[in-house]
Amino acid sequence: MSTIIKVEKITKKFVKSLDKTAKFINYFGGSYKEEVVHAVDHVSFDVKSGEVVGVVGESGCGKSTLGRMIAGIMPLTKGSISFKDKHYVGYLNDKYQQDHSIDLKIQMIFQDPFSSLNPRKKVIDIISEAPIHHQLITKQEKKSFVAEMLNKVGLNIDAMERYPHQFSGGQRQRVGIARALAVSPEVVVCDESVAALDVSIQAQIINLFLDLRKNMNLTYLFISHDMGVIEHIADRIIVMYLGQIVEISTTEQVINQTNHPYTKALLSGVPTLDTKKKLYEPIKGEIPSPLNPPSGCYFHPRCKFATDKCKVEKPILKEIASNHFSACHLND
Amino acid sequence: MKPILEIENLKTYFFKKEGVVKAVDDISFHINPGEIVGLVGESGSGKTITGFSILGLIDSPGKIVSGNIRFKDMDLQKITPQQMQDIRGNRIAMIFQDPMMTLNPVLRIQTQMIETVKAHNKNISDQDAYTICRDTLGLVGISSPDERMKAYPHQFSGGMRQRVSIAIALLNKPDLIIADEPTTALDVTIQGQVIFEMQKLCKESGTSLLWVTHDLAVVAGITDRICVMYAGRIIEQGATDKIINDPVHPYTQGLIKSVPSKNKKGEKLHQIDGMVPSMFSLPKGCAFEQRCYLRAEQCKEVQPAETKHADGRLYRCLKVGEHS
Repeated sequence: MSTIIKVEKITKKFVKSLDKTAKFINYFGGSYKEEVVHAVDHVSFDVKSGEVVGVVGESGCGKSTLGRMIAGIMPLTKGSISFKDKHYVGYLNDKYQQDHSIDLKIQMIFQDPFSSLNPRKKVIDIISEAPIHHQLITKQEKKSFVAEMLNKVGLNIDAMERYPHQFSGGQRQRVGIARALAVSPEVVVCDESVAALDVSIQAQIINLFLDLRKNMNLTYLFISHDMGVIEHIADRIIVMYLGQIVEISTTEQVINQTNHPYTKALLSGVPTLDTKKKLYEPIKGEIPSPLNPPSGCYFHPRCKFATDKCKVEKPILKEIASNHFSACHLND
Repeated sequence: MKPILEIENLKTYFFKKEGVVKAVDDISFHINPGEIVGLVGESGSGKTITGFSILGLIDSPGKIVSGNIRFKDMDLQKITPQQMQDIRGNRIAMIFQDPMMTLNPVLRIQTQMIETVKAHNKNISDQDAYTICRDTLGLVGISSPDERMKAYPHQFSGGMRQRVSIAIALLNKPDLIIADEPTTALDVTIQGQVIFEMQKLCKESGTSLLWVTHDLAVVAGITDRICVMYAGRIIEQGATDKIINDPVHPYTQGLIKSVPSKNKKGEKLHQIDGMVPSMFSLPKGCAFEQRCYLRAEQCKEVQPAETKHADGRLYRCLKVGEHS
């Protein structure tokens, strides 16, 4: 399998710049500093063609930022992303470049089916807008094209004359999927695409994703906080914590030979359909503020195996078994 | 054992311009002292309205049309608003889904907590009220409660805020807590922590708990009994291990089978086709009929009554008995 997306050391910094008062005080020797959040910090990985890569982590770990950068809708601060060995977005020879011819090849499906569709447009216009603009279809073909797309995502053809508010959450998500697929992408970034749906509808949409993958030969980057969903759909899993990858491997290895203490905590925290009255033994503490991350390993204040080394030295991502990477000092 | 809460044939309807929404339609269940009961259903199934009905929080155009809600020896339908006020937040407490909405953003935590204590105990001194609040805050796992008492809600993270609302619910040592999706807005590791605290606190104080959620997996591990709701009705209720391991109602079966961990990895998930019918135009017969694999002609016409299974659980389905 060939590599379709290669992500190299990408970083996204959000800076809250100083207001005028602070600048003024600084001018007279004040010490106000800009607040900097490293939403994504030196992340590298690659995605093979036809693969489903799952990204898990809790809120604020940078998984959505990562997805948006890969989809090309958010500029990078550092690093570069290439698509099929061709530079796509980021820094090439110290110059920021984005190759817009590749934009269409990577599409995104969002979490909230209520706010991601324009409420004043009919479904036919929502789905056909991008392909017409990019001259993939002509205006005359619009109707038959939309009918075909709706058919693909399991919606009735008469849906095209309706507005988004006339649909339920699951149906709206199908419209969002049809819109993303309308420009025939090769990679689809799904950002929490099933999180807002009811359980019985969630299964329908996951099945649709699996079908589309087979029929259209898609590659997915599947972002979710739900380990159960990721475990089911993904071939490989990336676990993120505070903007960094802590573990990355095949699904089997992450689930069965879990290495990083954070992944273990994530897995054990997932409620399962097990009726044995279990007493939850949660990990302690909260996710630290990304404005002010802890020293050393970001996870050490919550980790029960933490040593003195963890407090000072940041662990790097190392290969601990074939294709199994983990960033933890305990492996040394 | 006499149940602490008993609901009989409760019907809560909303009278809207577009028609009558039967949000809760003829449900009956009970909670024993010290018991944890799960109320599970998809959005719009009426689980939240059930909780609101118990506490008398139904506003116009909604109305409790008929049915009894008995709490200990009181009929909550017949008592005066003043008596209801004494029960609410005191004997029955409620925890809501969104901790951002339940705490007042412009008041310090201590103001909000002491207010709750004083509302139900007029004679308590400020100092005593403060001590109770601080101790309860420590109980739910908030470190250095003395400092945190002075903080404002925005200074807390989501998980901490939910702990504060749990602490407020616990302040007057209620007999029953209604928790409406208390962990849905939280991260996985924080959800684990909150479930752990709630479990521990209920066990220690013998408080009964009604856990309202859409997530079967959350209630599977902690509840004694489960009620599954669909379109305003409880379609199956019974002991947790029976419901989870051997569901009889086609909807419960479908729900459990569609959980990813019950399916083979990478293969298609079991799915329930179709979607929940509009609450404005519920069919004459069983509301699940359109999506059911057991459906027959009679399901379209007859509303299934609550039937008792051989093992004691209750279900609403005409076809189940014929197959087992």
